[in-house]
Amino acid sequence: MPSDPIASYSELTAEGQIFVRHGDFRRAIDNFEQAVRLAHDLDDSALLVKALCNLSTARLASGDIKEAEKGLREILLRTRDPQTIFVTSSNLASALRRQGRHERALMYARRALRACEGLDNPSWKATIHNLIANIYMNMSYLDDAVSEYRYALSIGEKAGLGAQWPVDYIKENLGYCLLLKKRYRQGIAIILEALQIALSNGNSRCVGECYQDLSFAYMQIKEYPQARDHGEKALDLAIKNEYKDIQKNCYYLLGETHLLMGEDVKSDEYFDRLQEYYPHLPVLKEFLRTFDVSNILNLKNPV
Amino acid sequence: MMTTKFKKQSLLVGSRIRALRKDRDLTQADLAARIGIQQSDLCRMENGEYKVSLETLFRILSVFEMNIAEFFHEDLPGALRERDAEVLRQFHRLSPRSQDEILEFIQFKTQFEDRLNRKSN
Repeated sequence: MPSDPIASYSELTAEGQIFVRHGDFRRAIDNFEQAVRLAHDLDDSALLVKALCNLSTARLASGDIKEAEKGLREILLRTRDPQTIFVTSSNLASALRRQGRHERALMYARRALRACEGLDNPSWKATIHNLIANIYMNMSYLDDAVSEYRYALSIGEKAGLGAQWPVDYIKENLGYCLLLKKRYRQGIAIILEALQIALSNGNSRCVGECYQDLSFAYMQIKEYPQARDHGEKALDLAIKNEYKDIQKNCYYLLGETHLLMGEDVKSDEYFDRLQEYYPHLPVLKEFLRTFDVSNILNLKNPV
Repeated sequence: MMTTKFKKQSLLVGSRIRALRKDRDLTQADLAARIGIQQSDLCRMENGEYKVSLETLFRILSVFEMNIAEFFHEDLPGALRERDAEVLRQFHRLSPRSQDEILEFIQFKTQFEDRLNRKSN
């Protein structure tokens, strides 16, 4: 770590951003918390705002929504800097989306989009269209979501982003959205592309989501061994990286897949693990053993 | 151990949620607040247009505090269908002696059909 505090701040920030893109959210949060302390010590309000925004982004990615949201509205009210408006609006949109407050989320996402117009940053522009698409997908407006994902990808193509972040996420989301529209083969093909990009980018969060999506897709088209294998890979990654949402989804997917394969004991094991998250709901396992809920689920809906 | 899967469409789940909500005198706003989703989303869920997360699905079960037989009673194989219920109603109207005769007749028919099945196998 450099002795110059400004250099330390820059190093922590750059490293933290890499951690976020690799899906290592715990280490990203550590870095940005240190950057916040440094900015406090330096009494530099501009650096402090940037560090707080970065910390919010990492906390959002890790699923700590309440903490991620803290202070963002105050920053947004005070700032005139387009970059800060973009990041705070985008993070607020993302936090609201995860709370199921879709209309408010869309409002902030559009504000972020307006802020982005003046910035020459195609990655950010693609990211915000991806976020708008995510909100539409959470609302089950699947056609609108597909259009936004495709638009986000076209921005990436025009800017020559190739296989850079966030193209992996956008393709993965588009693929999953096609699965929800029951266009399984097309969805699988796009998710496999996303998987290759995410693997080469070292984006473990996106890799985990791709495996989860593929498990769901193969289960729906009755290719159960493939569904099981991808589900197991997703679960391993989710446990290692503490992606709780993927873990729960995988316990469901693996329980369901083994059930459909006639492997009741294995199925029970996974449903039991899911049941542990919901001790107040003793009917859960019996419910899942009895009903096929795969057609009414959106595994990417946070609420 | 039960392994049979009953394919459910989201429309059926949605209509069941609507029926349960009305049965308990809950408005869409009440139920949406208890599940933690927006009223507009609950409305679309009841119409089978909205896909839910596992969390929301389990929260719905939790809010209604019921077992699965109650949740989807008309679809369970063990649940009483209208015809079965009619047979029971008629049975209870009979005297104890007549009920015994009916039971003996059912046993006779069951044994007769079992014998027929064994022969055909």
